[in-house]
Amino acid sequence: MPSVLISGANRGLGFEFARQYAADGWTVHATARNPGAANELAALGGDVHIHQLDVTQQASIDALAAGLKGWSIDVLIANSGIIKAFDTPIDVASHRDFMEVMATNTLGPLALASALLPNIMLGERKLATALSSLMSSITRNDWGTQHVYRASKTALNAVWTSLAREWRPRGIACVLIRPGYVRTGMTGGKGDLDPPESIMGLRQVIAGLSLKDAGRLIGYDGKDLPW
Amino acid sequence: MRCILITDADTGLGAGLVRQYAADGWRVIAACSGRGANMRRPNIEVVAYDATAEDSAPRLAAQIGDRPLDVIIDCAAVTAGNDGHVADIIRHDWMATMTVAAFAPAKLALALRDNLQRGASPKLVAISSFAASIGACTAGHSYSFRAAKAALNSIWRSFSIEWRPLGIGCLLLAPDTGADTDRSPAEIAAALKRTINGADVDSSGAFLDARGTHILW
Repeated sequence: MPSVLISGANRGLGFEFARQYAADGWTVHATARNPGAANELAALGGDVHIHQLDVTQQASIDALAAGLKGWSIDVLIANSGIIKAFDTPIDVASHRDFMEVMATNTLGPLALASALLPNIMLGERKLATALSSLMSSITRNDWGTQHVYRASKTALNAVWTSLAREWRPRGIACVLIRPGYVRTGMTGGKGDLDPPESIMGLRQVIAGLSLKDAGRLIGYDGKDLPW
Repeated sequence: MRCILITDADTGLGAGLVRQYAADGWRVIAACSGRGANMRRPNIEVVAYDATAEDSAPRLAAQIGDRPLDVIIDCAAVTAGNDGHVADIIRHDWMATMTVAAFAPAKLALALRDNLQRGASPKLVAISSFAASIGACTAGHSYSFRAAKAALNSIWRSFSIEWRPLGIGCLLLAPDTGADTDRSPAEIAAALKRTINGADVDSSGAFLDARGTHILW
């Protein structure tokens, strides 16, 4: 069966990815900052492996990569992300807040993908996906607010498209995926859809991806989002 | 006398802009990390600015006081790193680039918003880069530089929306494209000045090259 690695899989969308892939019989590598508290993950049946990972710490990423040496990963889902108080504008964000969001949402996925390159190369699908957002789209921004989160996701789009270009010769498709406005802890329970529906849509998108899709930003509904 | 603040005024582009506006008779506040050599003119005031410091914005704002500013050009000067490949990214350098090119300009704009509001048809300009264009830039480049300038674009776009009711126009300029490659810094500065002068609050939120042509986000 294929294998997937999902970062930030202990709750929200990451957990739903893990739940659905595990139920489908995939080998699931699920990461959490604190695996000891990931009770829901531990309760999942199937071929689920839980790993410690804090994407803001290079040592943690390196340790994960060392532990996974020789394992293939067909699909990487760089899902971990923080919003650091949804409505916090840059007016009140400290340098520390700003950097924590950037380290988690932008550099985190990139550093994780880089460290897991050998595993992705061992996989058959060779897909590296990262979770973007409607908020990443400058074109669609007509109401401002939430500057730091927006900037982190726009910058993620910028670096992931670069990664797509860099890794295309290796046969790896790097694709940005957008879950939609999903009712999770991150949104304070607000949203247009529930996690199972969003993740069902994204899994369908992922199932259809190939190298020709490298560098796209595709929504759970199969539609591209403008930059 | 119209007043402009130019940051990183001791870099090539910044210095070129200082000379252009000073020659046009503006009062120029040149924010420099160095000593602002060769800027001794009656209408140029050199102030200290170090965008790498976390408290750079309030420190510069304190030097400006409550004076009206008609234009701010934040050069957000940062050199592209050697991280042209993902494996070459150095975490510390990546963070430093993000601080200088995105965090510091955002905080400075906020610290000087009231000064701009007291200016005449005020404009908040940030120097971005073609590398920040996700849609158009398909060449290789530094990961950290592209990320930081893309973050800058995102924030400026939000400011353009939120500050429109205040009458403040926000522009993103990419001087590294749209011009002939053999243009001198002085010629590029002159082209940027024309674009800035030609902009009004209706063009707020635009991302323009050196000729004033729109660039894809």
